[in-house]
Amino acid sequence: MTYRYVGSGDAHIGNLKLEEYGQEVELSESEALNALAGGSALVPESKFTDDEVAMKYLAAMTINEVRESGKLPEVGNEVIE
Amino acid sequence: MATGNSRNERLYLQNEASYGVVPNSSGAATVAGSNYCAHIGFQMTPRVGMIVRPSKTGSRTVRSGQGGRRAGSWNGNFEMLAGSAAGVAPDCDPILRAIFGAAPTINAGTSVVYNLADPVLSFSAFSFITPNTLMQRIAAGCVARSASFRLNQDAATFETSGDFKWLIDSVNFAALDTPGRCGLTAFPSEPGSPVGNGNLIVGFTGSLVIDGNTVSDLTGFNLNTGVNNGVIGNNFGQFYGNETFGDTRGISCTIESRLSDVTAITNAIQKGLSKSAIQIVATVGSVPGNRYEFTVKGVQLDMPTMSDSGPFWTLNFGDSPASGSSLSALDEVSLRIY
Repeated sequence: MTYRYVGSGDAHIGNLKLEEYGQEVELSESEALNALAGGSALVPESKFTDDEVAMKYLAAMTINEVRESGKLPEVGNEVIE
Repeated sequence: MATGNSRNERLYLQNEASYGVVPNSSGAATVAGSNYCAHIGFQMTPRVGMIVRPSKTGSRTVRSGQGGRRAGSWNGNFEMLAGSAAGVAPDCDPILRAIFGAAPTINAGTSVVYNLADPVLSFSAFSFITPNTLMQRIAAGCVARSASFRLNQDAATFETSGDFKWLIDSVNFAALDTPGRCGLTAFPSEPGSPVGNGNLIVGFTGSLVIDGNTVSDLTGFNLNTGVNNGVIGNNFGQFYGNETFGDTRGISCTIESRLSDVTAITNAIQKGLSKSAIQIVATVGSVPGNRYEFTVKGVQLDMPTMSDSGPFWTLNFGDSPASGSSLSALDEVSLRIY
């Protein structure tokens, strides 16, 4: 599944370096779970917009949800609401 | 044969649900790439006591001893790094939880706030060295004794230390007893895909506000967070410390500034004499999302000393204790990452 990086600074997921807003990254479900649990600000491609504030908020909500539940949120969930 | 290159190390941190039990699933460690935390150094020092028989031997030669209680201590240096977005706890969250005694308050999209609480929280620290044929280590039951945060560095860093229950290592794992394995049935391998976040915070950017006045002549500020947690190492029937304690907190700060006649300095000198409790807000970093803000309440400034060892006068406010706003507020110090 394709994710977009929306973090403020650099992030590393294994050998991947994420440094630009909107940077695309292809991750399997387990890789995405690891990256989000590790605190990398990622949003699904389907949710990505140029609204940085909204994207950072969405990523933060998603990370915290993953850390609490240990699971990826269902794609399509309106976490931002 | 492999020689250990000290740069080839990664540190992983996990909160413990039960003291001294490495997070596991049926004995298999659950450490994952998401638990990675960038570090400058993390020293793990195990101690094994020696029990010596006290009876006379009939000569001046002593009998050989026997291994006694097992314990250890740790000391870590870390960059102050924020999470990848505002409102996301940083990678060093388990250490900050251990220092403050509670999980942070998450304000999604805005900030992460650590407030003091009395529980003693622990974490497991995994040191994986490449190649994995070298000794790998896990410090189980790490509790925080103290932390020191400084302003006016190049890269903003902090130093912290404490005790742990036991240091499990891959070389001795098979020889360890069950309590010494701290819940594990096998020594884990390093997880794949370590996830690391956070940008450099320039340590000489930010601000220091003393009693409502911004200090512009700051040359040094050190926040000492003595939370004084420890491991009870002398319980009957135990080779390992199996419980923790929390002693009185000792939060204090030192300030070094150029001598000037601005309000901030004049007021601080007056407070050194009056001992009126004041608030200090120290912020490291200036980039939104990458700032550490420490609020220290109830500070009673030490009377400053003056030094003329350089071309300008410097004022040194020595160790100045903080007692918070009340006995029940537990607000001697708080940290906001925003």
